[in-house]
Amino acid sequence: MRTRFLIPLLLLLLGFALSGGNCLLDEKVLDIVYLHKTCVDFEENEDSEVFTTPATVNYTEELDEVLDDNNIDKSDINSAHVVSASYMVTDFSQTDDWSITGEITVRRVDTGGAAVTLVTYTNQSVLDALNNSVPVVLDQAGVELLNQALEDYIAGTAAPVLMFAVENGDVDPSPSPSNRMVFDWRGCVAIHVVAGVSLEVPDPF
Amino acid sequence: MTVPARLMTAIGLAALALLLAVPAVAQIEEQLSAYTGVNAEGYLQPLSDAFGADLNSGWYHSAYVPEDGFHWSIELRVMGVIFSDDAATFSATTESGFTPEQTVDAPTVVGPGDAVTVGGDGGTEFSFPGGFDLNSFAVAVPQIKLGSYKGTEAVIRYFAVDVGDVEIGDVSLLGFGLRHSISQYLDPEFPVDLAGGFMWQKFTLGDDFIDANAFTIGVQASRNFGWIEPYAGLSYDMFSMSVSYESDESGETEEIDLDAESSVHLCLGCAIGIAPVMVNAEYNIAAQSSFAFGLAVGF
Repeated sequence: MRTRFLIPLLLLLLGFALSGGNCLLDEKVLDIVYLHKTCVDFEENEDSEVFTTPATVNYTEELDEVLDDNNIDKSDINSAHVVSASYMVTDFSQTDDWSITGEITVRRVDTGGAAVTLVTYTNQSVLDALNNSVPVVLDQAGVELLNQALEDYIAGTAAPVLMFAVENGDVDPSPSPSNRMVFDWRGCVAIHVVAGVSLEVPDPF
Repeated sequence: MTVPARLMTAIGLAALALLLAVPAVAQIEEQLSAYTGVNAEGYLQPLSDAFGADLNSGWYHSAYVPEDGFHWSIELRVMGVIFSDDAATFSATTESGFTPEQTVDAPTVVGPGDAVTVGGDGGTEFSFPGGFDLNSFAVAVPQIKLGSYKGTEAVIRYFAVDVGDVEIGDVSLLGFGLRHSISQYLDPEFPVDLAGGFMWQKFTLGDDFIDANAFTIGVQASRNFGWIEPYAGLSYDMFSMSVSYESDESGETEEIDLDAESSVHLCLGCAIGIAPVMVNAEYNIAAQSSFAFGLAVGF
C-alpha cells in the first residue's frame, strides 16, 4: 500500500524536476548575425594611367539570396550594415610590378544619383596584392550609400542595383600601348544582416 | 501501468527532452557561423562547461555494491546547471577585417538575445550575435546498472537517435563505468559503505558537429538508514568538447577545441525509497556546480 502511494509521488516529483514547474520548452527571441560578402571582379588591360572600369551588381538579388539561404523573411531583419571591405589581385602574370593609385566608387543605378568614393588605394603594388586580401579603410560617403541601399531593401521602398567603378588616377611605371598593364582583381564588401528569430529551447529550471 | 512501464515513459520523456534540444543546436551552428576561432570558443564555453558538469554527475546514488549475486536497475538521470550572471557574456573581438579592432562584452550562447553592435571607421558597424537567454541547461539520460562480481558493478549509459535532420545528423551518448566495493575489505562494523569507480562517456551530434568526452574517477560513501540513504562522493572530473561548423567568414569548416575542464568534484546527495524504487537528489560542487535528480527501479 505504502509502495503504491510512493511510486506515483516519486514520478510526480521527477516530472516536476523535468519541467521545473514550467513547460520544458521556453520561447526565446534571439538576434542572429549573417555575414555576407558582395564581390566584384574587375579586369584591367590598360595602356594609360587614367582609366575607369565599371561593374554592376544587383544588390537586391544578392540580399534575396541571403534570405533564401538562411530561411528568413525580410520582415525578420532588424538591421543591415557595412562591416568592412577588401580587395585582392586574382590574376597577374607580368614580370614587372605596377604601383597603382585611385578610388573605387559606388553609385545607385536604381534610384540614380552621383557616384561617391567607397575605397581609396594609394601606391598599391599589384604584385603584393596577388592572392592576398588587402583590408581597406572605407570612405564614409560610400558606406552611407550602401547602408541606405540596405535600408531601402529592408523597407521595401527600392530594389537596389549598384554600380562599382575603379577610377584609377596614377600608375608607376606608366603603362603604354607597347607595355600594357594586365591584371584581374576583386573587390569585396562585407555586410552584417541582423535578424530576430523566435525559437523554442529547453530551459527547464 | 507497471513500475517498469512508468520508468520507460519517463525515459521516453528524457529522450524527448534531448530531441527537443536539436532545433536549438541547429540554431547554435547558425550563430557560430558569424564567428571564427577565439570568438566561437568564448561564445560556446558556458555550454561546454555545463554539459561537462552534467555528464559527470548523477551516475550513482549509493556507495553500496553487493559482493556477489545478480542485481540490476534501470535508471533515469536528470542533471542540470543554473547559469550565473558571469556566464552571460564573454570578451569578444571584432573580426572580418573590421577597423579599428575592438573588444567588448558580447553575449555567450546562454547570454541575452540582443545582438551587440559597435561602430568603426567610416560609419561601418560590427554586430555580435545574441545568445539563447538561458537560465539553465539540463540533460536527461537513461542508464542501466548491472552487478555484481567480486563487489564490482557496471554502469552503462546509452542513447542514440536519428533525428532525421540532414543538417544536424544523429545524436548519441555512450557511457560506461565500473564501481568496486571498498567496504568488502573493511570491518563489517565500519559505519559507512565505501566504493570507488570511474565513468567514461562520449557524446556526438552529427558526423562531427559536436564531439564531447567526459571522464570521472573517484570514491563514494553512503549510509543506509532503511528508506533513506545520504551519500557523498569525491572525484576528479575531465571533460573536453570539440565543435566543427561552417564559417561565413572563411567559407570553410572551422574546428574548435573548447578548453578542456579538469576539476575536483564534491557530491552531496540523498536517496529515498523502498525497493524496487529509489529516487535521489544531489548537489555537485565543482568548477561548474550542478544538481541532479534520479529515479531507479531494480533489484
